[in-house]
Amino acid sequence: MSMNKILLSAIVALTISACTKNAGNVKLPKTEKLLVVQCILSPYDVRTTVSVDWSQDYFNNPNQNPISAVAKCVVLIASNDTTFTLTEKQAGVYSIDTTTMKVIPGQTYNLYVKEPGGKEARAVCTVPVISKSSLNFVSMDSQIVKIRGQEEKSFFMKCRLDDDGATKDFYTIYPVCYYGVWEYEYNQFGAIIDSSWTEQTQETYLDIEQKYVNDQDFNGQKKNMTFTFQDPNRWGGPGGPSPTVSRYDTLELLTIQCDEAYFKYHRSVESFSQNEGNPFAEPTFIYSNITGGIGIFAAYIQKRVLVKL
Amino acid sequence: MKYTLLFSLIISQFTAIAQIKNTVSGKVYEKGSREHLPNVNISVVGKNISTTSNAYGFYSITLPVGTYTLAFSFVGFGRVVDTVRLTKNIDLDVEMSGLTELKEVKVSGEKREKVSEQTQMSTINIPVQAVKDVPALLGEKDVLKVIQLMPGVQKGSEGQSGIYVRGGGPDQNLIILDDATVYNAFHLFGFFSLFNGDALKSIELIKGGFPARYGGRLSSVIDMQMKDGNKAKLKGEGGLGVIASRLVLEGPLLPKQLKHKSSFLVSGRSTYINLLMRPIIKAASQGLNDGGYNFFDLNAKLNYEIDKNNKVYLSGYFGRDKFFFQQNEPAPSKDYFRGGFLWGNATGTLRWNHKYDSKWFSNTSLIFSDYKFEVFAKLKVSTETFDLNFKSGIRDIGLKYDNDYFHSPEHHLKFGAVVTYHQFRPSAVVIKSSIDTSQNVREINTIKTYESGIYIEDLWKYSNKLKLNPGFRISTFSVGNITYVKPEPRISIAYTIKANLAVKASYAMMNQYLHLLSNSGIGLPTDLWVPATGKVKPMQSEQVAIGIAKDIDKPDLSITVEAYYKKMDKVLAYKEGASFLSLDAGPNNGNGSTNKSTWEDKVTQGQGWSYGAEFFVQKKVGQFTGWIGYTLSWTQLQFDELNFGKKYYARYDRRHDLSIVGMYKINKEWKISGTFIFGTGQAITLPLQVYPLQSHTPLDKNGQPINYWGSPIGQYQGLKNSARMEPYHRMDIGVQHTKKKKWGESTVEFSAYNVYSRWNPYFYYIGSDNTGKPTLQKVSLFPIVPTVTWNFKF
Repeated sequence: MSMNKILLSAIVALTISACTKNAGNVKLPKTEKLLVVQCILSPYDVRTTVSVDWSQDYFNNPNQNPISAVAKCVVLIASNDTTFTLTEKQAGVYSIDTTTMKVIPGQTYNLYVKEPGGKEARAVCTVPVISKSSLNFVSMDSQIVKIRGQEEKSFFMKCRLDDDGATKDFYTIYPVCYYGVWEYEYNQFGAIIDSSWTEQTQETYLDIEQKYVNDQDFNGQKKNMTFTFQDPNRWGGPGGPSPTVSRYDTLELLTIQCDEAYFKYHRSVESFSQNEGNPFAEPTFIYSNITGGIGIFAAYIQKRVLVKL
Repeated sequence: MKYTLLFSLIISQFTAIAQIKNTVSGKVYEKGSREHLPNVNISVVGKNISTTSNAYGFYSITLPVGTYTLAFSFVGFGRVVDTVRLTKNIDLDVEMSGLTELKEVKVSGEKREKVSEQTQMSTINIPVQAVKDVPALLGEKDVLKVIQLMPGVQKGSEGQSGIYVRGGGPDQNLIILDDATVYNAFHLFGFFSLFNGDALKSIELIKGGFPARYGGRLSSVIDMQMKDGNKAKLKGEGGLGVIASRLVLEGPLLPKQLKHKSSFLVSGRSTYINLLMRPIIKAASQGLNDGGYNFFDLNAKLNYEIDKNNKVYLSGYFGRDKFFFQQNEPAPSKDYFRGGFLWGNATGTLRWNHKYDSKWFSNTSLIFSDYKFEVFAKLKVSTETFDLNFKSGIRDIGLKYDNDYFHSPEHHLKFGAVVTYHQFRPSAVVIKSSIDTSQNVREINTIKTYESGIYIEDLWKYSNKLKLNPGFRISTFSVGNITYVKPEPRISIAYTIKANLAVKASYAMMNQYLHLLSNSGIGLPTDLWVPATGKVKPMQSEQVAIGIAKDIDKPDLSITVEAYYKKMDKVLAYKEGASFLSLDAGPNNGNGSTNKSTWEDKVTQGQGWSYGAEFFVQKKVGQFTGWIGYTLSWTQLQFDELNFGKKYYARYDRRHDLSIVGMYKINKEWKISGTFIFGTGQAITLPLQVYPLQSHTPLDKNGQPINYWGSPIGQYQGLKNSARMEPYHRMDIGVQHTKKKKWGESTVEFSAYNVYSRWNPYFYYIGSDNTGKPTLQKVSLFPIVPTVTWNFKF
């Protein structure tokens, strides 16, 4: 056998020898199912809802169903010496009318959940006060770009975040554009017999670091930000751009001023969703502030900047 | 009576002052090649006086007038004894014969360096011969993999050359080749280091108690010196391996009459994986796909002795790795996708040795280092094209001035200064798209910084029992308008309890102004070097260590036991979900800024703790050589923004790490060697529970919920790195057969990596069985890998 053949054989052997096997010997930390409690408080809601579920074992879940609602729980929210009992509207979903239990900025709420087996979960949150912080519109710019040979217009909204130095603030920013869609009704011969114009919304892409902002690096200062709104034809419909989509009519920046828990939870969920399965990304841990279980109990208030085009 | 005592004291002091002293100084060389020998022990026989030669083989001892016998000893060399009559300053150059030059395998005069006599602790001089003898994966001898076998040093994944010293990350190791910093020391995605053992003269690993002359990294110094080149005759050394071949040539540079004045060394190594793999890839895809891998490296060194007091060296390294692939659509389509990685280092050092007088020796180095990493991709669909080019790198230009002042047998001072200009390019992105011009980006960001340091240290022999090495370094780093100035006190103490037994202690404060952003932690080229900035602070560590060093004469053994505690601050890590690929994500807004963040927004800083104990038994001389190293350690990290702010075990935390290495020279022709290693499995994060995620989406201006999530499934992983891979263990063996030939020496080596073919984990991923149930899958790379290599010398 020549030297070349030996070398070739060795390389082939090495290549095919990389092996995948079931990792039966990995010691996993012991866990049992966890009580999952999730509730977001907002003064803008008609009802405050708490969902209660059991988590499922990741590797030993025979039905592969992560949803396991927990019925017949005791769900209480206490604030200012008043305790409210939430009623179960459907299995695992408990709610209360916000006219009965008002969500008031600056007020602290205590959540208590007890499932029929006796396990308890607790959490506390304080609704943010309406601070002097504000996101202000500065100017608008636009640019024509070519997408597969077709011209499209992108808009750039420049804003300034004026942060209130007296408070530790957490912001979540949703840039939303409103655009019109013509919807047509056709007869049996394919002719248009009626048309209507409806307004639709689309949240535009923001990097996580720009969408979730806390003021620890600029407390009390002004922060300039630019938000890009791409042409609505980009998401004109399934299968590609649709000629039925008109240009934007309004751009909106919805600023959520939230407590730290809301900020951390949503940031972590978005990071988790974006990077699941990406071997080059650091693993994301979904934030939890529930004692005795996992989940979220947080609050926010919102402000908006609307720009008519 | 009182005045008598005072008078006696004055007389004795006067006598001491008046006592005439002279100096014997010179250089220590290897016989034949005239390579200078560093770290040679020079002792005055019958006196408790000794010193060691510096990195350039220079030594100096100052003694009262008299006749003395000097003994020169160095591991692997026969002992040399010379008598001098010291009535004036004397130049005494000494040649030592390597054991291979001597006829007998064991030399009666052979003497090893004793760990109990050294002030420095946590330091290991790696015998270059061990690098050649220890069996290696695919026969590729690897300096860093031998360093991985030392206590206190953990390896990364299977087959990787990345090293983790006393809980520090891979960026916390200062890897120096002839004074030049090497930023990415790996070929082939980290499987092999880029150092060619044939071209190296010395390898020193320092894990703690850092002398003040070193700075800029928290966890270790790996200081390697290339051979100067044989001054007497042309010599060569090389080898043919399974995936690469190498060749070293060295010899005198100038005509015969000046042959001891200068020499050169050139070494090269190249792989032929490409040659072997490309036909296979093409054949497997019916000619549609192409791909391959290339790496090579070149070392070169020249030196010239201008006169007795001046010598210059010019040395350099150049290496490149390229991985590429191309996927073509079947004809008649001409669409394709091609891409790959390209990376490499280049270093250059111009050094000038100058001897001011018999006590004072200096070295001035002008240093250049450049590391580049590039990702390229091109997509062609019909007439449309998309080009991506991502570049990252760091370029250094430095000036270093080091001095050795042998004041007296009690004081050997080292002092100097270094200044380095760093030019960082954390990310340069060029995207050209005819498909979507909004994606076009051209951003080339460079950061210019200056790093400097001044230091002084004293190898101080306080008494026959107590030796110290106090030192002080001040380091500075300037970036933009910010300048960091950090004092770094250092001290090492050794106290001799009795002959061959010493207790030691050390303290070192270190600062590091360069960070490596790493997702993989295994030395992939995708790791990015970034500087400290106003927002990202320099890393700092404090380390204390205590230990015992014991030498046994029969059999020749050195035993060290050390315990250490290291606290690290401002350690850098990516935030959750971040990676180098997301550094420049986001659409362009056409005005020079985008809806995106910079690398500084993607990182977070925290603290780390590492503590443990190391046991090291080494036999350096004789027919049988080798060592046993065992480390018991804990390494934890804490970041406010990671793992809910709680402490967690680092990925490279190893509770137990054991290495057993043995080499036995049966006779002149046969040599056998073997290694066994065991390590606790790496800490990893795995999903444990799943649950439905609920969200409360805010309402738009029409009262409709935005940011509709759908029904995402959340995972609960417990704490970060709360699961463990399987333990890693492996045994390698090697047999070398050497034959003398007319033209030189031929060695055939048979080695087997992973003799009992254990499926050690390389990484895990989540797969699923045929019912769709998630399963944890283990990927293993190497079963038993037998290899034959041929090495030669002439």
